[in-house]
Amino acid sequence: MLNVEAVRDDFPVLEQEVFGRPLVYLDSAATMQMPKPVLDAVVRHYTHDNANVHRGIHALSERSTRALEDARERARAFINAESADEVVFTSGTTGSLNMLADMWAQTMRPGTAIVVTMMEHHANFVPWQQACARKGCAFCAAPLDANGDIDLAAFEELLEGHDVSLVSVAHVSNVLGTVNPVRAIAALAHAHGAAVVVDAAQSVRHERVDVRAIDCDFLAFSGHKMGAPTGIGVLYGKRAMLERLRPVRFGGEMVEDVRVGKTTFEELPLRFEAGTPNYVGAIGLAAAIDYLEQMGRDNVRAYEHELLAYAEQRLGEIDGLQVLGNPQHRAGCLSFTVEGAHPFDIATLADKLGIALRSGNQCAQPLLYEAYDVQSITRMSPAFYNTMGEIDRAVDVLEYVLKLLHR
Amino acid sequence: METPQEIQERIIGEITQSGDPFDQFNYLLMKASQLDEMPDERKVEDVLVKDCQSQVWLYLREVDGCPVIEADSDTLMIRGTIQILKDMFDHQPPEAVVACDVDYIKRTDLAYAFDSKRVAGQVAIVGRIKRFAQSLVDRRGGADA
Repeated sequence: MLNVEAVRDDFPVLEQEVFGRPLVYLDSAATMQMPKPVLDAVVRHYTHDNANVHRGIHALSERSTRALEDARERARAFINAESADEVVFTSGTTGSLNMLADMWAQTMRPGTAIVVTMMEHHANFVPWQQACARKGCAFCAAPLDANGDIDLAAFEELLEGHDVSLVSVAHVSNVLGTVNPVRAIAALAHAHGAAVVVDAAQSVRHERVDVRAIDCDFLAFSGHKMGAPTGIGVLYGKRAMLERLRPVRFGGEMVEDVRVGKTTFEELPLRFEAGTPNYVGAIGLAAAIDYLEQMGRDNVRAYEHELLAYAEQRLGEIDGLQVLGNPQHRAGCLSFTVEGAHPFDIATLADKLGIALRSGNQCAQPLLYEAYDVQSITRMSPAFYNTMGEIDRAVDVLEYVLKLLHR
Repeated sequence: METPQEIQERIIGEITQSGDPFDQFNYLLMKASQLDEMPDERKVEDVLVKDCQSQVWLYLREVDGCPVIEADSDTLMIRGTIQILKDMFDHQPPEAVVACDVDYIKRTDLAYAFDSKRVAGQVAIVGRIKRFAQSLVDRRGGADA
């Protein structure tokens, strides 16, 4: 079980007032705060070991390289990949998915299709949509059912009705919090000959992300959603799948031999990491992984589920407030609308009373505009450093703010 | 008659009267309540100024050679800012509208709610109003000639 008060000691950023009120940070789906051990790891590296990695014949470069490769091994273990060669460091989920879509596009035949779902973040929607447009392929978005779960029957119809080369789906929705049955989706997609990509940006902190159990071909996540610095992420790919792909980013570090007539590339995973990698970000990611492992991922998951369930119950007590979706499993966040109150007004006023929420379309316009016919929502996304008391405080503030907006 | 600049100074004084940022936003809500609601049939795409969080429908017309703003938004905060612009610019000489430097947001705690995208939305609205005012100045100049 988590000792939340002790955990909060690791997050100095939470111990502050904003606008004269105690901060209640409920925007962890956008970015999670960094614990001290991660901050310390980053400062320690810059203070004692900093040098560019790979091919440097001096002590600091060797230390930096070792730390980077150690981080790769930690990331491998974290997602249970078979080999560290299957872990490509990127700038984040968006960087991972864009690079993958560009690489995959080189293999796409006209007339084939790519399937995503209506709940995807733009980062797992637009790159595939654009790749399909470039290559003359069909781009399909599987609909959701009334509860905000993927309509699996409709999803299967898409697989049967098209020559689908790839399915890309969020593990957890960044708006609804829906936890998708990615293992079943992967099995279904594989049965139809399609490769499977999992966008794990929202799941990586609170769900068990095991690429071998899911049996996905690719998986993408960001460090900053799990307590690491921004600008670091991972693209996992099964070795056989990565070996099929040609790099689309070129430069230093990723080449083996360069001549006027021909260039050959490094082995996996370096061939996909052009230029100086964000090695300090990777070191921060490793520290974040250590931190989560030390807390116990099951403990984190259990407590975050408890927090979210409590938030849903308390929000349900507010007149006119409608939580979007009622999926079978929810994690990480929930979004709501309130009759007669705009999310921008709600979030702006709540902020002045110390409550950090997020308003807008959450980079999921197809979901909001086309599936739910709403322009904007307010999102609450607690993390394991939040307390039940903070949820109460947020709900009290929301009630007060709504009274003002409705007067 | 107060100039737009003088009205803005008065409004800044009213906003910052309370040091509490929350009260400053409450002021916007109070201003929002003064703004007439636009009938839905007038909220058409042609007059829409959109940013990632809110929508504004903006009409500008001339009354006795001066600009008059008719506008609405789906958010109360933005409705408040529209009412402030109406207070400053409605029925003012167009030259004074063009000359006024609209900076009340950055001089108050309201800046905390207006990030670069939302400031861009405000700038777009003010830009349209000023261009309209300039067209009135130009037209009168042409008539005088």
